[in-house]
Amino acid sequence: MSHTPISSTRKPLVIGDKSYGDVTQDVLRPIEARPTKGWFVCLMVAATCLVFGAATVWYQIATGIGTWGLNKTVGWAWDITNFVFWVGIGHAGTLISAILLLFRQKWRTSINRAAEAMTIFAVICAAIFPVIHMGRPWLAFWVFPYPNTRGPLWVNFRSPLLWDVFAISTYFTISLVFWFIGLIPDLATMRDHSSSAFKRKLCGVFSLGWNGSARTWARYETLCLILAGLATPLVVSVHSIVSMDFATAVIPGWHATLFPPYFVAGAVFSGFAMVLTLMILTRKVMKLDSYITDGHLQMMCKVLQLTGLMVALAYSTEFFMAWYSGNAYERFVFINRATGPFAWAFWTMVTCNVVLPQLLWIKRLRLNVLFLLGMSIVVNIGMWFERFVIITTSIHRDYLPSSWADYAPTWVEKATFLGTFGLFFTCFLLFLRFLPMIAISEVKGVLHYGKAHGKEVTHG
Amino acid sequence: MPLLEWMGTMDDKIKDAPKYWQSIDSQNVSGTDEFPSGFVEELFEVVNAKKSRREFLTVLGFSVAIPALTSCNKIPVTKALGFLNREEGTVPGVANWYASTCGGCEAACGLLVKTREGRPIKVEGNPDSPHSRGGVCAVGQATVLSLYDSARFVQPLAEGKPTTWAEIDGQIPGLLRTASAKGKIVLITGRVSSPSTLAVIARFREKYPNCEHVPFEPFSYSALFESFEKTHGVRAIPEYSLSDVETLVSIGADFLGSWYGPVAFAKAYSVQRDVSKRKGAMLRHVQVEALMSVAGSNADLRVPVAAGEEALVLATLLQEVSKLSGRSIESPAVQMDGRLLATVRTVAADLWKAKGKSLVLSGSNRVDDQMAVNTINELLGNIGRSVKLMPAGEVAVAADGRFENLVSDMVGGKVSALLSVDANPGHAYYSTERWQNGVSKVPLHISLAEAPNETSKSAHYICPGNHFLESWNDHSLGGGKYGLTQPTIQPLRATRMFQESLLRWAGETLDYYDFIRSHWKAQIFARQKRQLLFEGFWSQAVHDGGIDVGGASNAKPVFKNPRLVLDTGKSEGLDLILYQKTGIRDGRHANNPWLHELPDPITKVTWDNYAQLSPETASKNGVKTGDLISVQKGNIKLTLPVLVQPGLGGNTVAIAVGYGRTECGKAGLGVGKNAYPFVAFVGGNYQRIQRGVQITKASGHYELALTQTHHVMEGRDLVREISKAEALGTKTAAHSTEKEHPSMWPEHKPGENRWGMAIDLSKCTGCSACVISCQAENNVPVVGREEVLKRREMHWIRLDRYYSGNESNPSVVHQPILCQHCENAPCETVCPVLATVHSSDGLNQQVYNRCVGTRYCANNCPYKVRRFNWFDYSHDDAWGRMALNPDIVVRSRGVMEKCSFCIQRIQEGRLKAKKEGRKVAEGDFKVACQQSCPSDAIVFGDLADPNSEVSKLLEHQKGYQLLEELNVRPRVSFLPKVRNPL
Repeated sequence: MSHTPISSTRKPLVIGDKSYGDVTQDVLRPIEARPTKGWFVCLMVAATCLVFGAATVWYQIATGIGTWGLNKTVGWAWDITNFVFWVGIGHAGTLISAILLLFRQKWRTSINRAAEAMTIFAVICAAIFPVIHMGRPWLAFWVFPYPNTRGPLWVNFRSPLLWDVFAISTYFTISLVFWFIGLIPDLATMRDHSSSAFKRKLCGVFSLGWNGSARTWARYETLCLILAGLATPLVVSVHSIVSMDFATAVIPGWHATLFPPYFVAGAVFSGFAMVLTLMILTRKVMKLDSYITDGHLQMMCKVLQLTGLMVALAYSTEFFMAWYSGNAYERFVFINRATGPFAWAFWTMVTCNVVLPQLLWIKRLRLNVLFLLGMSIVVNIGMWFERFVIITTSIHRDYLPSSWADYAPTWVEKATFLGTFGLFFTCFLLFLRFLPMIAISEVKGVLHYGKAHGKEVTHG
Repeated sequence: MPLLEWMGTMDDKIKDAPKYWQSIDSQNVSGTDEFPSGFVEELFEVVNAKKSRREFLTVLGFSVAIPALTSCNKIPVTKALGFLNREEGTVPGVANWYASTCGGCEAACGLLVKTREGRPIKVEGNPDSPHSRGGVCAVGQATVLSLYDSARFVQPLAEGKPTTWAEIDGQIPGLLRTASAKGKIVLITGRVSSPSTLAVIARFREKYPNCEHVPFEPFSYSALFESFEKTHGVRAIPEYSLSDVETLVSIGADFLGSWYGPVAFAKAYSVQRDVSKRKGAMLRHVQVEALMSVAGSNADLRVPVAAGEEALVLATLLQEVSKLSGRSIESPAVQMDGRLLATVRTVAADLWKAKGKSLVLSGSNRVDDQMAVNTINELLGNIGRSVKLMPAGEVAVAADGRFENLVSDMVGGKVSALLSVDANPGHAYYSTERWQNGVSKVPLHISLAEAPNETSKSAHYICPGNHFLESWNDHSLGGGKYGLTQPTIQPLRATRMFQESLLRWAGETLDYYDFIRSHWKAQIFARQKRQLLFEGFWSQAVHDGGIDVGGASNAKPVFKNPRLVLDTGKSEGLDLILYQKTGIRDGRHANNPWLHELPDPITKVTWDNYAQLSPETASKNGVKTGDLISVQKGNIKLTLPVLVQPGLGGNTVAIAVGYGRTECGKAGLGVGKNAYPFVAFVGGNYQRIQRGVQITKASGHYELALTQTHHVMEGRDLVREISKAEALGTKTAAHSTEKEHPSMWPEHKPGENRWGMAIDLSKCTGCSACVISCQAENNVPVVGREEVLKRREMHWIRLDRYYSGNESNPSVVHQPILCQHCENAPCETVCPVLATVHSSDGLNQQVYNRCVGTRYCANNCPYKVRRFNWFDYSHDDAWGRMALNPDIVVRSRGVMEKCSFCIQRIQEGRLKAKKEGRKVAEGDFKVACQQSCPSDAIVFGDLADPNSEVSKLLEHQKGYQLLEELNVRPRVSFLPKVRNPL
């Protein structure tokens, strides 16, 4: 990467007088030491949720989708809400690693590894729903266009669900590759640092023979840049395509050209909220306050604030267009959203996504870590409700009033959603335990950023 | 350089290349000896050895034999065997149709029964039937499922123990002789309109002279039949003819729902209401009623009154009509408030204007009320025109008074033997206690019922009868018209027609079939001149499902001015009205799950009965739909959920009877509550309207399984109404068909046919026959109350019912909704796996075995007609499964389904045409909903053919497509609703 002269007036990204050795020690400490009791407790809770969720899914697949609360009118509710919710969360990782890399936002180095891991786990959680929401999930492979003996029978390229298949699988692949490539220098560090022969062997294999030579570094950085370039359009495309599941439909409340940017903004909003939640918790538990500083939290707050306002703008645009279009069905959907049987969900969404985030304007609150933690959770609750409101309130009362129906989730849907949280946190906890959660090599690159003795550093 | 040449030079190069040695040892190997000595020989030995060829064959043989052997394990073999000797007239895969007569109720509509491989699987209306003319109601459609009811009796039982018919026939005559000596033998049946059955009963009574035949019907029309004796001096059964009628006034008679013969009425009604054919003479319908009935929902003027005030309206109408006629009629003085009086006066004036071309009906079971109706019809000159009086000689109708006497006799110990056929007083008699008491005093009770019921429960002997689809029978339809019922399958179990049992016990050896033939030969054949030989006459009758020998008497009976005592008091407090629901009727079909799941045409409730209250009464009592209330009259008390029904008469509670069965199969057991105890025997007849009932709010809530919970159109342009003037073209319609919208999608290539449908909203009465017809035709599963509560009913066609206007007297529209088969189908574009596609003839097709069940198509359907298989809806009842249509696949769990426009019927019609070397034409087939519609509201056909009925309809009338602004281009069009207001 290019050489960036650093002004000494800027605040350092890593606080405390850390040497390169300290960084390695600090980041690898949780991996090499015995896991704490707290970690075990967390893992147990997460794994229990996961097992419960998995058993529920098994029950649902064995019995039928009828175990959910859906009906002839409301064909999607919690399932696709959860899908969009998790895909949205999966947005922050790639945004941080790709777009912020291209924009030379150096503060991202402390959080990108964990954010990318979060992305991968979130996309895995998301991918569960399109499969299990099918009436016959054992035939889910039919959505892939592969040569077959049934004609060959092709897939429907007009269907946004098929676009989803491509969008999500591409996004997942790129995210995984990007994450792994980023891990290589750190895996090499682990290899060199470890006392266990097995670990040395394993890290050796996965670090692909990293030797730390200048040529290796140069190639590595080029690759990172290329991947960042590839991943950047994906950040926008994935959620745009997910939004087309709705935007291309004829259902009022779904059929809106606004959806792609609206969904992307919402995804970044929810993704950053989730990163904020995780980082606040992790830096406390892992004692990494020096690396994930209040400054980092402030930066994330800014992104949160911006995307939150974008989402609020989208909400008001939707309402304005419903009125301005003069379309009676469209108008009804929005009046129904705000006053109908799901008004509580709508107002929860507005409160969480529009009203409460305005408190972030207040600096005193922004500096209060506990407040930020609460706020990030509130935003994620709000974003879940946003998807629920869009999906359910639009279809539960569409064109023919004779078919209007209500919807309430069953325990199966709730347990399945809980199960995905179990899966997500199980994966995340294992990640914290077995891989460096901060990009050691990248942080070393910004160690002198904003510090008096660091006149010039190379970003790595 | 060519390749071969180049390879040659390479060889040379190799030959010329210096030979390098690799080690000291190998240096010793001489020039050409590149292999160790003996190696090559050994190699040849291996290759050429005879032994190795054999080994090869051994291995080959082994490797073939082992997989062959391992695949020889026993895999269960399912055999599909064809007939060894094909039965004459049956071709596997081709349906046989038999003309018959429906046994679902007393109306005896003409049927065509479709059988496949010997199994009846569908009933359809017989277009040649003289009175039903091709329609069948929902109940009739559902009878095919009752045939395969697994709860039916399997064989005769003696004191609860299985026995044989031989033993039964050995024992019973002796027992009956003893009983006859001791006291009275009583035979309880429903209404018997079969002349041959009456002859059988007469034969039976010859043998047992002490035998009395008492027909019992919970809804008996006994006052109606009695009234003609008093006003016209004839024992007559009226036959209503709408063919000339311009004004029809019904006071509490739901003639399109359950009263008298709804199918025949609907057929005639739709013809008279066809504004484009009848022009100005379109029938005007006034309904005065407490219940919001199917007929009322179609009326041009509906006057809701309290249940107890129907008689008051009748009396006022009589007064007004007699005033207009100038004839002095002794009628009671009435007092009526101004607005209602004004309405009645307008109606009377309208009736008078249409005198001779009008009809007044009443649903009352009070003789004086019916006498008043007869008087009005007499004054209007309708008797002999719209009301034809048919001699009642060939029909044994139920007379409430006789049944009441019978129960008294039973209680008094005067009855020594009781034979009960298909009537079920154990359920439908108002005092179960009194009935039980009576029955317990009868020493011999023989039940000839088809399936267990509350009456057969106490029987000593069960001698099960056949389902009508397994039986021979005949029906007198009045005026020299006869219907025939012929068996379409061998009795499924060891059952026997009850007539045959009576013949056996009467000592006759003739079976019932021969008996009918001999009866017809003697009684009916003689009355006609067209056929010379009886065989020809009989074959014709069997083939046609009946015969008309003519000879209806045109003698106009003389009117005797009667003295009327009408209950013209005003209602104080609450009135109660008991009514029959469209599906369950009087309760005899309570074990039929199709009928339980059929949404009531008005309330849209499935699987329950309930207490209907008007919105005003409900709010006065502080109750909402689903709240439990206790309805009390004297010491009869019933706790039921409330249903708030717009348009219900004020101060009225309406409860459906036929529910709360305690003895039947699992489908009907414990569904709803029995409301028959509220019936009272007053004035010689059973009264179903009670005054002075109390309601009290009970604790608790009971969710009613509704299929439609939102009842207004929200100002949307869904059901269009145009005025009569607009319909006649004298005034331009307010709605004009919008111009074509541009489309993003490429047009479908036009095929040879373009199937389409037109639904006339003016003709649709909401009777719901199409719903059950579709269910039977397309193997649509029943899901049960719990699933309907979750809004998961599976019907492919539904009737949307919307209210508009005033809550206390709304106007009602019924709109049948099925898959609209859109040209730009929103479902087709969104399916990721192409499980729903467009056919060349314009059908939107669902490919079940390709469907993975994302439900995206259902979400994106603006009409919400797609139905998802949430579970594996079982078709595992071995008996019930026999009713499945073999042409239609049974859908598995997790796939979407919907109306296919009866593609199997289209295909059948197409193949028929192809075999005959022509194009498929109008009339080659009818889709199931269209076929069953008694009002001919549904027309299906080829839009590509400008001469097809559907094309003509759409060309000449102001048809529109639902939600046409979406540009999905539906293939179903609606003709707007036309009313004929006063």
